[in-house]
Amino acid sequence: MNELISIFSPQWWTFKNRLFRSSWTAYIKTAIILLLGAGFWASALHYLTILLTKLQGMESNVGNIIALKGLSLLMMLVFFLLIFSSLLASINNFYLSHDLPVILSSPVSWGSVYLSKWLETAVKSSWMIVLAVMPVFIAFGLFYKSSAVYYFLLLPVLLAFVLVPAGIGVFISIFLMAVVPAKRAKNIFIILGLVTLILLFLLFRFLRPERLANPEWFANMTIFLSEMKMSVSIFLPSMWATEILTPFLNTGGGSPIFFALLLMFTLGVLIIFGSWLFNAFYYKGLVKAQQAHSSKPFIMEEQFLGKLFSRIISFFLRGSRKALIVKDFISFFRNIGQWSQMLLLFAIIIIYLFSIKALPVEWGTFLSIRLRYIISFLNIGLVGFVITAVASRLVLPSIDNEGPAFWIIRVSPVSMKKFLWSKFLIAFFPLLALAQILIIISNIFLGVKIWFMFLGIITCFLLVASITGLAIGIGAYSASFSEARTGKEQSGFKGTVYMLLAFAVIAVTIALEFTPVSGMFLKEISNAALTLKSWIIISLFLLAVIVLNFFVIWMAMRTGRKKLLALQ
Amino acid sequence: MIVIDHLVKRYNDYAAVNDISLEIKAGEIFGFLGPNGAGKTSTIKMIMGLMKPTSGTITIDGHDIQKDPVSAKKVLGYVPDRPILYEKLTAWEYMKFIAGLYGLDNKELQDRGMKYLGIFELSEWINELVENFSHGMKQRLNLSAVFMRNPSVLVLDEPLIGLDPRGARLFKEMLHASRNAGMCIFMSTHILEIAEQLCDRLAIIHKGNVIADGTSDELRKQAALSGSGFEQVFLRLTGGEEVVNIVKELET
Repeated sequence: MNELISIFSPQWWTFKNRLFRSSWTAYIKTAIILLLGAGFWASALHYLTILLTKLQGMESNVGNIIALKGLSLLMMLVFFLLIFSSLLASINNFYLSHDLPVILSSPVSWGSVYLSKWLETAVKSSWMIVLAVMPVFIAFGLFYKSSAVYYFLLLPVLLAFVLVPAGIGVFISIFLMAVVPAKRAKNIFIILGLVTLILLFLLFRFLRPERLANPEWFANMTIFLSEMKMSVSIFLPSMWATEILTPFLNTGGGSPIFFALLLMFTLGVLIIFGSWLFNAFYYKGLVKAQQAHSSKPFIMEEQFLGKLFSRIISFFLRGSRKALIVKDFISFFRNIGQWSQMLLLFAIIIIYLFSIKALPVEWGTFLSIRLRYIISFLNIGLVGFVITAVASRLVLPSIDNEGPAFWIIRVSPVSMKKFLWSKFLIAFFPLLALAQILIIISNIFLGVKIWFMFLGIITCFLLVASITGLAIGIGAYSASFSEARTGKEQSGFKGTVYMLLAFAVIAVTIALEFTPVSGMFLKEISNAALTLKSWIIISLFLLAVIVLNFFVIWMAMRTGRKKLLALQ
Repeated sequence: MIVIDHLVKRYNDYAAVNDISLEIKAGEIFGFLGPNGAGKTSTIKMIMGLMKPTSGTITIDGHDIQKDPVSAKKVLGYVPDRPILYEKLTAWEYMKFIAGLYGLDNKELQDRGMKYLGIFELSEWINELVENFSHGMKQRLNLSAVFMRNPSVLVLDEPLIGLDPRGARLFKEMLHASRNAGMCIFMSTHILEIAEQLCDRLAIIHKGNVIADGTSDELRKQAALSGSGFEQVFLRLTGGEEVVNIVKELET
């Protein structure tokens, strides 16, 4: 126990110092994050209660069945997410963590190393997800007027539940690191990315959300009820956690004690077997992780993709801008950690396009033309959200990724303006390509007119530019070049501010385009010519969209540049 | 080549650099010495444009580093104490990157780049990732990249840390050759023997002030310790003589 306390003491002191010895800016940032979190909880509780009330209004017991089924599905999604999250966290904690040299060179027992890393993995991979699903369970509790036992059990059950996927993640990572050849140890993230890609796709196909868009699916109530009553999977711990809690929701029945014992037993087995696996294979995996860097790197001139990129870049750019972009390109493709994110991105694109394709295509039969245009119009915003999510993972950290080597740029005769615009360019074109693929293909699936297609293409161009500009600007404004931060994921505050600002830009852009789009739409369905006044109004709104997006880019890049110039 | 005029750097009430003025000419190796926290790194950071002075100016080959940083940085070379480079590049890619940043053409890169990688014994490692290099190898790569550019002003902050005796010897020879070719070299170091051996002129900074400036013999005179070792001179000037008493106490 003393060993565990010693191992965790740096984290505890860091936490204490952050709590009592931070700057006012840090306290304000924390307060904003807490407020945003409270806002999320409040709105989630509010809308979930509305949803549950509406479901309750459905005939017979359908509402209750749908609500409880939804809860099971949510828990199943959380379960798979936690496995992936803990896999990544455990590889980092067990094999790549900065404190390993200190801990492993000290006379601490391996049992303590295992337990400390196990707990660290569980906490790091699950705290955010637990916080996010809590309002769902509280909303259920409030709606079903549950007894105090429900709330009393909620936290321990959720904790026991999240420890199971954490245990699975640790188990898989120790096993993977032991069996993957040393040369390939670094490619483990690619393997993980592929596994997630397949899991995501299978889960998505299993849920078949497009069924909900088809009212005919609801036609046969007997089939509906029988499908809904089927358990998601009794073999999944997510189901056990739901089964423990639901009897206390005043719905009655169930055998919570059995499922609680099952959950605890599984957790115990995972910890014990994990410990056995750790003792047998950890050292082997650790040695491999240390040796993993000996593999030969790809040389750009020797690869097709590298050669192609080099030719394209050399055609357009020379000198320092070319040097900066080539450096970023090489660093990106050599950073294996980025690959799993690329695979996730690929999964998002496939799922996104599949969702659009799976929408009922015979619109005329039950949906009006107006709805088709509303969906197509909102689709522009959705593409903006996807681009924002991708940019927050890949573009926002791009300035931080310079790390302590940033001194090389600072002492060179390259202006900060040139540096930032190089970062902008290397991010903008891939994001633009992604956005245009999404908008063009989805509009083809939706069958919109050519003017609408052009509107989507141009709006996406502007949105991608401002979203990229925001990511670079905010990334530069809040950049930290210390070694400790290099390669780490985005800290909550920066990511949250970026997402909020990007969403605001998207929302205002869509709102500004609403008048021109409805004007053009009315012209189309009535076949009437627009008056000069209408054309002027439409042009003014479109001009406002252009001005807004260019202003966002200018402002973000300028603010970021000023901050980098003021670095001491 | 380097003119520092009434340079001040304050952090709130604390003066890290307190009104120093220095001039270092072409073809000169200038040693900048001082105890920890004396203001050496702050001065170097201000010379390199990495930090803004509270007041005063620094001109590099006639270009004010604050007003015209791009022109000044074109002639400046910098070797920091910790050679933190881009880990995901190979040694040759790093050389190409630096050549691109400083506008060297392909012929210069090939000729001079390969020449200095050869001098610093890295030729066989050119396709190896920087992340696999030792501290000393990284420093040698950084030195290769700096000398490839042939800057007219070179600023070095503890450049010998991590270099093995062979690397250190090579580096010293390179400094002599560059000085003879007209390069202006500003070097901070804690290794007093090296400072005395290599530098044409020295300055000692203590608590933000330059307390002595001249050749090693002139510094001995200022410390009233003619004929003494340079360590003794340094300790006398920086008020560190109590260290001698501590050492005596430890010996007993």
